[in-house]
Amino acid sequence: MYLQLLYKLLIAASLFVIIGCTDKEIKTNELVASGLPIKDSSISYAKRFSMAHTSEASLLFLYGNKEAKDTTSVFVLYKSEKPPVFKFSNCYYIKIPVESVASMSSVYSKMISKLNCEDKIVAIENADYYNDSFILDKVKQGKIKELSKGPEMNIEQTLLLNPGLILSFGMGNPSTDVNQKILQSKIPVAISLDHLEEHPLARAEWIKFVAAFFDKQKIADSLFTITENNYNQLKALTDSIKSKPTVLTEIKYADAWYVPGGRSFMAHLLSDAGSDYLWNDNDRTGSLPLTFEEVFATGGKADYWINLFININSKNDLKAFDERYALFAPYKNDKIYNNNNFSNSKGYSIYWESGMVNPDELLKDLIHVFHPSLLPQHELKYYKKIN
Amino acid sequence: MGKSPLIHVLVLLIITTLLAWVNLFYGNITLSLNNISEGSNQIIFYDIRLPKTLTAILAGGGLAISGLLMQTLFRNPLAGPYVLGVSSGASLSVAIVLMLFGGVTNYFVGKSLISVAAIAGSLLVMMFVLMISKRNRSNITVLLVGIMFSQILGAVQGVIEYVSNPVSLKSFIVWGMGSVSNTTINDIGILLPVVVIVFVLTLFLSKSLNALLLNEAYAQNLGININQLRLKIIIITAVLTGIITAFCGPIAFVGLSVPIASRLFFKSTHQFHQLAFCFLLGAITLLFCDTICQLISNEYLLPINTMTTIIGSPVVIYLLFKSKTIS
Repeated sequence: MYLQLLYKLLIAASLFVIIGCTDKEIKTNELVASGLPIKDSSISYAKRFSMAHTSEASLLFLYGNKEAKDTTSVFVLYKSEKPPVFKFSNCYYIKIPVESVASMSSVYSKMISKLNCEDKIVAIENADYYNDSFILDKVKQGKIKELSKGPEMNIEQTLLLNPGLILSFGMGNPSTDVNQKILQSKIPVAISLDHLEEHPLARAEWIKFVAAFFDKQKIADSLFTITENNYNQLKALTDSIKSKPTVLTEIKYADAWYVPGGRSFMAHLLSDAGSDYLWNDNDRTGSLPLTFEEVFATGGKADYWINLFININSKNDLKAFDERYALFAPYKNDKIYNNNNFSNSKGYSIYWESGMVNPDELLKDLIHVFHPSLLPQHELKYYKKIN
Repeated sequence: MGKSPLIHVLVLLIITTLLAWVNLFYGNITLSLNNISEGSNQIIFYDIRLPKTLTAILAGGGLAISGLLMQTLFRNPLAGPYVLGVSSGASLSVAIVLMLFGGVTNYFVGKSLISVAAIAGSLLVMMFVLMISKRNRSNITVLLVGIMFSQILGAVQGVIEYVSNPVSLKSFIVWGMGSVSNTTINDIGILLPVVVIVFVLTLFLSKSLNALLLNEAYAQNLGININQLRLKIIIITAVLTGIITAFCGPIAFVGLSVPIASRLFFKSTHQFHQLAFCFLLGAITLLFCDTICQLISNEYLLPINTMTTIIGSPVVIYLLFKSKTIS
């Protein structure tokens, strides 16, 4: 009994110490609210990161699944010889501009490339996902290493390369998103949730996050403004459209047909392109798993079918996956468009590489597909018709 | 067949019919006889639900027969297509075919290639395990060899998946998850005759199987050519496991547990009876699991393999504890 009491006292004491220590740390929200650093108000769409500036440094806050309530890491970016001292948990001090980066997503590589910093890339995840000739040439020459040819990251190669920064993505839990040995090394790792952003412009806005590490903030701001203006001008074209075609997306994967949720990136894009996305009446930001028959009941008579699968180039390819796809109206009416217009030999298209960084270009393609009369001269860049 | 087994068969047939009815008409979209010819309901019924229900019956029944034959051949109640690595043999050969020829090929060429590969893979593993069992008659050794072989094939498959391109990988992963809902009416045109013909042929072997179950020497004394019988069993098992695995992917649990459950429920040791019981009980098991998956699909989309294992394993464990021995 005394032993049990002792255990309970020990646990209570440990909790007290833990809570006490955490309270002493400066919380992101408190810091921003305190008015010491100036919150960067130019971040308009992205919800998974924020920036603040002090006279000594720029502060980058990476958020987890609960957005601003859940700061997973903080990056103190400074130019002086000595880093300024802040007390954050999961904090990295980085002298900018960083000289070498391991870019673990073709989206970040494309952003780095737009910022003219591609020569700083020393490693990527896997060249199979790339169409960018600069990256592919450097991989062939051995100047850019591939760190993730399979499901696991090559830890030894990463530690050996010792890049100034690893840009990676995850699901909001740093301790499981990246190998512990990488986290324990002194290499700064930015584990982003950019892929969970809901608005197409929000994902594109992450160029500002990437640019901060290379001290290219102004270039990023102007590049994003161009994208934003283009996007909004294109969206204005469809504002007065009354006849909106219905759209079905994806194909089934095993027993489930995952369609984008009603608040997802794709649902926004389809709505802005003047179409009626068939599953936009829900609050899901991720995907919605449906059965084949549910999709058929709702989307069997859809006007268009887009975003099938990377290697579907003809109706025969589609039918080879499942002959019942031929029962859908877009199949019969030749209104299928796949997002694989330009692909590498492995089947990966530029849609996943530069499309995410240039949502204005994606929107232009989709408007041309759904309302050809609005952009009659446009040539499709990411999409192609499946015959 | 005596009166009692006939009643058992009738009861099993009634349960199968009832479950097939629920499977055909109930799910997140409810159908009725009155509306199945209206608009999209017609396609949902004839092109989606009907092939799925028929596949569940044929695959469940076929895999159960396959398991029963293996347990008779090895005279080991723990033998089954999954345990002895026969499903892994089918999986590996399908993986090789999909990776070599890509995920997207001509529909009929693709299905034929996958079927032939799965049958060949099953056959090779069956031959190998039988060879081992002839050298070492210990049940444990045969099981361990089967499990080890399954592990080796799984590892080779892992290497192939690791180096394959995403298109082939997707096709294989989707296939490997196991499903009865990917088959179409055209697939049923192949699956139905193969399973039915093989099942009928197996019924003709029941007397020889009875003798084999008792004792090999006894069977030989009755003038049964043991080597020929073994070969027939191997071919039948490989064809059944192979063709079902080709169309549905590897389906866990049914091949192992249904014959065990059948022997515990229905005490008859006559293989003719057991073959009929096993087929129907296998069909019921897979229909039941698929119906549960279908009925809860508004909330979750569960793969059928999770359901076969979640529902089936406790039943078998319960039956094993209750009966203590399996005939």
